Amino acid sequence: MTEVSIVVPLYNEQDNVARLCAATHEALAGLRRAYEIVLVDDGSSDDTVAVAADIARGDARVRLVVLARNSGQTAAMAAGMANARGLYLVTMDGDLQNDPRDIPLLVDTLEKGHDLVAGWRMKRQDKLITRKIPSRVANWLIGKITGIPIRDNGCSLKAYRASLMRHVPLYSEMHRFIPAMSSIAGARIVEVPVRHHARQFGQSKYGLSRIYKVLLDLISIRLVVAYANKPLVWFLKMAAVPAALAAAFTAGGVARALDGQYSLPLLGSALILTLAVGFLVALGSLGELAKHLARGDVVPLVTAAAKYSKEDLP
Amino acid sequence: MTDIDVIVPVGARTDDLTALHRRRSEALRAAGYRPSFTYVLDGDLAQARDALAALARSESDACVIQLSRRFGETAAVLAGFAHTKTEQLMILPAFEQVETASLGRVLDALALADLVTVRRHPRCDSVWRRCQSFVFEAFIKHVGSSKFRDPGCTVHALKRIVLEETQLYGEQHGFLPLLAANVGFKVVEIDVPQARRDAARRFQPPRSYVHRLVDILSVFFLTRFTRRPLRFFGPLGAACMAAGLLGLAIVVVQRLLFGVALADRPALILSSLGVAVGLQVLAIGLIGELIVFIHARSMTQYRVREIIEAGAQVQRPKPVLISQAGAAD
Repeated sequence: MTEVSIVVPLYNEQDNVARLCAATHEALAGLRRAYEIVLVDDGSSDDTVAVAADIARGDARVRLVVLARNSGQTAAMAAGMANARGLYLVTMDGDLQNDPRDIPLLVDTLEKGHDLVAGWRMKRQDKLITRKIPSRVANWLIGKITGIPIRDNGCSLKAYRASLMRHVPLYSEMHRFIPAMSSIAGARIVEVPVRHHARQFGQSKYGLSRIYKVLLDLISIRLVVAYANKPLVWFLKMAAVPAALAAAFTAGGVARALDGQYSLPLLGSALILTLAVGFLVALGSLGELAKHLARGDVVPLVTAAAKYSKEDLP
Repeated sequence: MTDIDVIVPVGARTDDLTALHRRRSEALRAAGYRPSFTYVLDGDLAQARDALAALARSESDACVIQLSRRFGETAAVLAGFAHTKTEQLMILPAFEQVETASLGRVLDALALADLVTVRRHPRCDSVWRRCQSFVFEAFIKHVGSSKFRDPGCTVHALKRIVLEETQLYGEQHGFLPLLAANVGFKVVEIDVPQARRDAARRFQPPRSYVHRLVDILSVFFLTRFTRRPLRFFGPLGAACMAAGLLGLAIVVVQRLLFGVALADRPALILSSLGVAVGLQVLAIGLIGELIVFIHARSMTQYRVREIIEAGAQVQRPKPVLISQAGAAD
């Protein structure tokens, strides 16, 4: 039975595939566990598929999942995970910037009773201005908002329990937020320092990351994970602001009206803000409706994490 | 000879369909393809129906589908698509838009791409029409961040999988290249000379401009924000709310420190309106995020073509629901 699945999304990595597989086999030779390498071709336009298919046909430990078109890194990872057989999943970049020699350490750490082990590129070999600084800012933000200061969310080298990942919805650019989402839900996460190499072949595919997108995504993840099971509560909290303002303006307007003076701005503002409260309550009910229409548990993450803490401790 | 299914949505604007059919059929045969045409009559078009009925009787490579009422070009294309079988397809308008002799070249370009779109170039339109096109295209380019220069041209060659996996929106299928590229397909644009007949077309009714505008807006939203609605509504609502709160703060400070009467100021209403609208826009964004999150596991963003492993090669034509705006946002 396969214990460890190593999922590697590939996008135009024809020069790296063979070296990647060789390095992984070498690194895992001493692991004494059954493992498989799941290569995922994310619609490469070069010869990646041909090279990887040759390897996969000649090696029972390697499987190649070919996607019909370029779908993005999150989707490629999701495809690899969906087709992996291992109990533990390890994700890794296809460009050899991660070192497969770190995999045994990650897997051992998982076994000690963690749900997710994140790699931390201590000595990062990338350009300072375009890569390191934006990533510092993004990581600081993620830490602030989720309350879990993971230093390196962008490192692809991570290990997960397969059963945890079955519950994490992977969409948009969510792979970056897997630790954040899991941590909000209560999964046990650790960070281990890993090696990092400069790119050897091919071109780097990521430019300057856009901080504001990360920020908005984070806010929505935080709110969605916290409130997906009780949307009405969430909207009632939002309604507190206009409700308080409306109450104050109504009081002012009524006081003036008792004095015999009629104030259109005060009463008008009160009316507008009261309408906003009504609107928010209506939207909250709509959220409840959306929740009820969805089958099953909306936030299974929480249940998944709670289950592990009881069962899987050594 | 490669078999090619050609879909022709027939709307209000048509040329002499019999002559056009023969010319196109000949041109494609000369280029080494064996075409079979599917005409889709979009609505009650008596004249075109008669012409096509005669055509279907006399020619072996033509068939006609009649829709029960007018559904729009996109629906017509999809209705025609349901009747096709070949791996490679072509979509052509019911009038001569580009030089018919070059159609083979459009299909040839499919060897290197999933979809081939055409830019009419060189053009022989009037100056007025060219100005209109220029404005429309500039809009598409900046608002929809499209790199395709001629969304008005509806000559496309494509692989079957593109139509299977790309959700079409709007009245025109001119946005197909943009939507397909957004889903992750490889799209190329080639230059084909505009047909003289195309340049001589009549004035378009104002309604078509409204439709175009609606299309631009929906494409803009659907290609960018369907996965992350808060990215769209968030900044909008936050800005609105911040402006409102700032206005409130100013009038309150003026009341407390400078004695400017609060109750007589219209600025108060305006600020309250800002807060109210801002909150509502934010709330709509959050509802959107909630819905995406709830349904995330049923919205697979990828499709597995095959799985290759030692021994067997497993084909997986697994139908999955595909949504827009996955790869590029």
